Order: sequence, then C-alpha cells, then structure tokens
Amino acid sequence: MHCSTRLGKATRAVADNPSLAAATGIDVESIIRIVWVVAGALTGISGVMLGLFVQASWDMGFSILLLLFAAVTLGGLGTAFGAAVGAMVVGLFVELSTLVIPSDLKFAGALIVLILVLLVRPQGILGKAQRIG
Amino acid sequence: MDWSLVIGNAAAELISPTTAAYALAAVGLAVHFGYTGLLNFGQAAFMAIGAYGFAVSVLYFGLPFWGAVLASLLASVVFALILGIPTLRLRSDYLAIVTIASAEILRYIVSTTSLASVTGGAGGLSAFAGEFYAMNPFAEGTYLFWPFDVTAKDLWVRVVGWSIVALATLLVFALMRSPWGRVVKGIREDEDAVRSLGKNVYSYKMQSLVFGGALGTLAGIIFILPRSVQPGNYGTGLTFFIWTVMLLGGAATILGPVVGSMVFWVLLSLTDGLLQGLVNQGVITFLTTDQIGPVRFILIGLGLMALVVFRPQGIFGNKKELQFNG
Repeated sequence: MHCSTRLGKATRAVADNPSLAAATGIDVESIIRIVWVVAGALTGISGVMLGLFVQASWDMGFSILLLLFAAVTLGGLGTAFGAAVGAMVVGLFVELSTLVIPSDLKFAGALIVLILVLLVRPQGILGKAQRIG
Repeated sequence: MDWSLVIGNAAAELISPTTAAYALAAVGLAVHFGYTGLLNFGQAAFMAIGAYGFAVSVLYFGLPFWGAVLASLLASVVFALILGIPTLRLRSDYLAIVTIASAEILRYIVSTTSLASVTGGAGGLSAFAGEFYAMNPFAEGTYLFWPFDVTAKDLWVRVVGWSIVALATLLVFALMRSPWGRVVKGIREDEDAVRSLGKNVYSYKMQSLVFGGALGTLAGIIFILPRSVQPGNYGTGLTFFIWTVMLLGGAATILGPVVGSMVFWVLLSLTDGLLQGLVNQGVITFLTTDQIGPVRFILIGLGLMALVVFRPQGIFGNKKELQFNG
C-alpha cells in the first residue's frame, strides 16, 4: 500500500521534502495525521499480540523499543519489507547469541550488530542508497 | 506543613552538585544539538563513561585522581569517534539511533554479571573519591547561610563542580563567537551550503561531537563524586532529563542549560515537598506518599509537553534561531 496508492506516494513525498510536497497540493498536515493514526494502530495490534504470549507490564514496550529501532534500521528505513526482514534478523540474533555471550548482554549484541551494519551498508538490507545522504 | 523545610530543600538544589552535573551535561548537549544540530540521544553514555571511567581507573587500575580524569576523558573521545565515524556522514536520524543504541549497550556492559569484578555489576562502585576529598582546602565546619549551609566536604564538591560549569560555559561562549562556532552553526542551518564553501563538514561535526561528549564526561565525574556509581542511573531516562534541562533553558543559548538545570531540580524538589506535605495533611487523599515519586515525574513530563507547545525556544531562546530542524 505504501508503494502503490496515492496516499503512499503522498507520504513518501512529505517524508522527502515537506515544503515541496505542500507546493504540489498535498495536504501535509493531514498526511502526517493519517501516518500517525495508521502507525499507532499497527503498534496497538502488535501490543495486543505481544501481550498474548509475554506477561503484560508497564515497561514491556520500553524494553523492546531499541530493538525495534535496530530492526527498522537494519532492514532499511523507508521500506516495509525491510522492517520485517530486520525484525526477523534481530529476533533470531538476540535469542541465538546467548549461545556465545552471557544472556544479560543479548540485547547489547543486537545493538552492536546494528552499528556494524551501519558501517558497511548504511541503507540497511533492503533500503535504497539515495536516502541516506 | 513545614514551609521553611520545603522551600529550604528546594533552594538547596540550586547549588547542589547534581544540578551542576546536569547543567554541564546539558551544556555539552547544547553544543551537539543547539549549535551543531546533531541529534545525540546518548548523553547518558558520555556521563556513564565519566562515572565508570573515573571509578574503574581509581579502584581497578589504581590511577591517581588526575590520571583517572584524563583516562575517562580519553575514553569519551574514543567513544565519540566510534559513534561519529559510521554515522556523521549519514542523515541525522542515524546518529540519533546509534547514540541511543550505544548508550544502552554501554549500560548493559557495565551492569552485566560477567564483568562484575571490574564494574561492580548491578551493585555499582563506591569509595573512589578519597583522593578528591583529601585535596579539600576548607577546614571542618559549616559554611554559607540558610538554606545553603553545607559541611566543608559538600562545599568542596560544590565549588569544584560549579567552577567547571562556569569554565565550560565561558569556553562555549568564546567558541561560539569564534570562526569555529560560525561554521558549526552554519552546519546546523544548512549543511550543503557550508560544504559548498569548502568546509569539511564531517570533521567539524566530529569535533563538536567529541567536545560536547567531553563535557558530558566531566559532568559524569561531578555527578558521582558525592555518591556511588549505580548502573541504573545511566538509562535512557537520564538522557531525556538532560534533553528536558536543555530545552527548558533554550537549546542554542549559553546560560540556558545552567538555568534549565536549576529550574528542573528546584521544581522536582518543590513538587516533592508540596505533594508530601499535602498528602500528610490529608488534603490529597487519592495518593499515598509512595506514589509521589512517579507522580512528580508525570508532572515534569506534562510540563515538558507544555513547554514544547507554548514556548519551544525555552526560557532564554530566540525563536528566530529555532527554525532549524535537527
């Protein structure tokens, strides 16, 4: 949807250059509002799903927040499929890395991978190179 | 309610070493964000490097006081270079993600049980400031006047802490009037324009990151001198408090971070004292005294939102200078 609809196109235009988007007749404020609503709704669903299999607590979101950043950046900012791929990589890495490093450092391991990926391929696994500059 | 106690406690925060440490860290962050436009969400990491760099140098490597200060400054320079090399060529959001991630990495590393013999694990470190207090020139006794009356030991920490804050603000003031300051402010406004003038933007950004980080490290040392090192103190919460302090005073101002820090701590202490008093007297019945700690942070959060909505430039800020976006 992000790639093919008018709304998706308008969203990418706003992300790239808000004033230029406004000049071409896109209602920047309403795009931003729609994006927040959609993103909030998706995050809400993910909260429900997470609550189904881990114990719900007030800081459950905060404990995975940085891993989410890592996943999105790893997959490539600005690509929905990249975020999914990045999330799988981070999830597998966090759990598998406990075979080698102490388990209280497993999140640190994932974040170090994030920094290493930015060093060699800053656009992420599926991202486009023109966005990063 | 004992008004003199509430107001005295709040006023004492004006000169407390914690306020000085927050002010110094916020000055460093103002160099990053306010002047150069770098989105650094890892100022807590620089403070942690100051705290652990100092404490570990003294306790584990047995360095003298000045050696430990130098060692932690060196560590912070290396840390800033590691952060900067992969990210400063990329868009600003990458720096934000990497700084917040590396701050968390650092916190996990210092609190892991496998390094407990060096960093003290979750328990942290203490009893490392002996040499600092041995340098105290003030004789035993009570100094200053109510509500600032302190012992000789407290006075020594405060004098040193606030002197460093004063020196750092003077240095930043002089730097920002210099050609170097004009270039970094230019980078904040329009990176490409500065690049087209033949300046090495990457190198200037790196210098700014290292300098602001070194101020954060000094802040970390001041922060721990009167207390012990606790890994829990260096979470993302600390970073956001420093952001609050900086935005409160005004991001691109000289005195903003210092006054912001004073306002922040006086307000925290004042709300705490007032809420305690009101609950104890039965005026507020829907709270218990245990709930006051979190409630005052809720109030601070609301205050920050109101600040950003109604006065985005902070107390001292110039609205015209705030037209940049990170």
